[in-house]
Amino acid sequence: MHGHTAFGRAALLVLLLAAAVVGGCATRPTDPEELTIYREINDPFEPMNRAVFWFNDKLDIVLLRPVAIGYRKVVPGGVRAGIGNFLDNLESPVILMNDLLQGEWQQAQDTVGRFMANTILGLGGVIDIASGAGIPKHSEDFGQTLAVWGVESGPYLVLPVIGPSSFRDGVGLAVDSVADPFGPLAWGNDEQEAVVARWALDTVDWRADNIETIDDLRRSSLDFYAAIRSAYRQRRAAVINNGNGGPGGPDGADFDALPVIEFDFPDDGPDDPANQDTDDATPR
Amino acid sequence: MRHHGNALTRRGLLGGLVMLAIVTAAPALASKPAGQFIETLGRTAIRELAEDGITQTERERRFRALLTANFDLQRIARFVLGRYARRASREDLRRFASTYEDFMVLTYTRLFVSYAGESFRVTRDLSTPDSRYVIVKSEINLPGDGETIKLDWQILTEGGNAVVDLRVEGVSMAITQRDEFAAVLRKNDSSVPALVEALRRRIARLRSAQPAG
Repeated sequence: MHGHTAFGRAALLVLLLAAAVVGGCATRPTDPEELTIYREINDPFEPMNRAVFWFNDKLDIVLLRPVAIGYRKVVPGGVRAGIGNFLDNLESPVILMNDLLQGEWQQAQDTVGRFMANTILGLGGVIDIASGAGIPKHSEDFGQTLAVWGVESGPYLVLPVIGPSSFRDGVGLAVDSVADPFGPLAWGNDEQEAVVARWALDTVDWRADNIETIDDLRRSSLDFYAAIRSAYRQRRAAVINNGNGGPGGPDGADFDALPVIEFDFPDDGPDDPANQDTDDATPR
Repeated sequence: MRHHGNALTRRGLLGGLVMLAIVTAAPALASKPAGQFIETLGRTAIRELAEDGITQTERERRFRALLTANFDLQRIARFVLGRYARRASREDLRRFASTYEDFMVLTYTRLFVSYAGESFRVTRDLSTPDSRYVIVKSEINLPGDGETIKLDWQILTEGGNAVVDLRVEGVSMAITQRDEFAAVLRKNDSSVPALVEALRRRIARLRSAQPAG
């Protein structure tokens, strides 16, 4: 998720272009029920977002997906796992910062312990020794930190190249990128290419892990954009509450306390097929 | 007298057996732990769907049988329509439910098949005594880089167990579909028949794109 700064300028350009082409905002409905839905969806920039999403989707089909498939074909699974571990290890400083900002002391200790063990004993992060030793991997970013501090997600946003985000998570991404010592370290050692290489590898590694999932979603979706928007929101809500209670809960109230979704429809009356006991309601 | 008594006894015995069957079957159905239900469902799915050498049609048939027997499809279909269901006619709802079943079978057979070969285990059964719903947590370990996927099942325990939702890494299938269908409905003046039509077109496309066998 990091090292995106190098692409910041190009991303901004695409975003501005899309805004110019589409001309901004979704029209606010007047019907009260529609207005409630409009607020729930919280996507006032939908036309622009859809344009950027379309661009990202095409970019994925012509470039990223084929590269990811090639990567998976050429690089053996064990090596890919090592590269994945190495990339995860590089994220440790940013994760530590967010552990601390969220007051997650135990997680902060885990992050330090993992970084030391994996860097020193795990060949610079290639082998995830710590997970084997019972210190599990976790992830935090500044978007989650803001959420824990009580900041609402704000409108949905599709960032060029990067993908689904929100006002809050976009700010989080920018803060994480600036706070990441990797960039300054690479520049200081005159290894600017390392920043781009890391970003590219990160992206391809993630994409290679998700080939089937995205293929399935793409082919079965009636509205791919709406499906991704919904999935992104739910996923963010899940990781924000994961392990640290989130803004609404005490420490320790975690993912296990997933809310039960209401599958009852008292307004429908007994006539509705869903409120009848049998599946085989005979047609009249 | 004797004849009469015999008949009574016989009837009594038969009635008793029937009663016994009802009495023992009912609590067995209601109290079977949800975790065990998912464990069994997972094992059955692996055995039936990952079998080599069966045709795609046969695989679909088996998946449909598992789906209708273990999922509360009527309830899920009602849920994914969200508030749009209230304005729809009974006939539209029925048509939607039946098309939705076909759609589920077609889109999820492949997903389940791709998961079916992997190691599946139930990790926790979060039964709460006061709720009609139970959440069962499970995990699938993917081969290759050893990635673990968390699957949470929401089960309605009333009158036997039935799955109402499946959450993959915290993302609910029912909510994702509801939000997606809502986007389609908004584009089509809230018309449920238009959504049914869109589903049918997608089903036809998936069928034609499918490799034979």
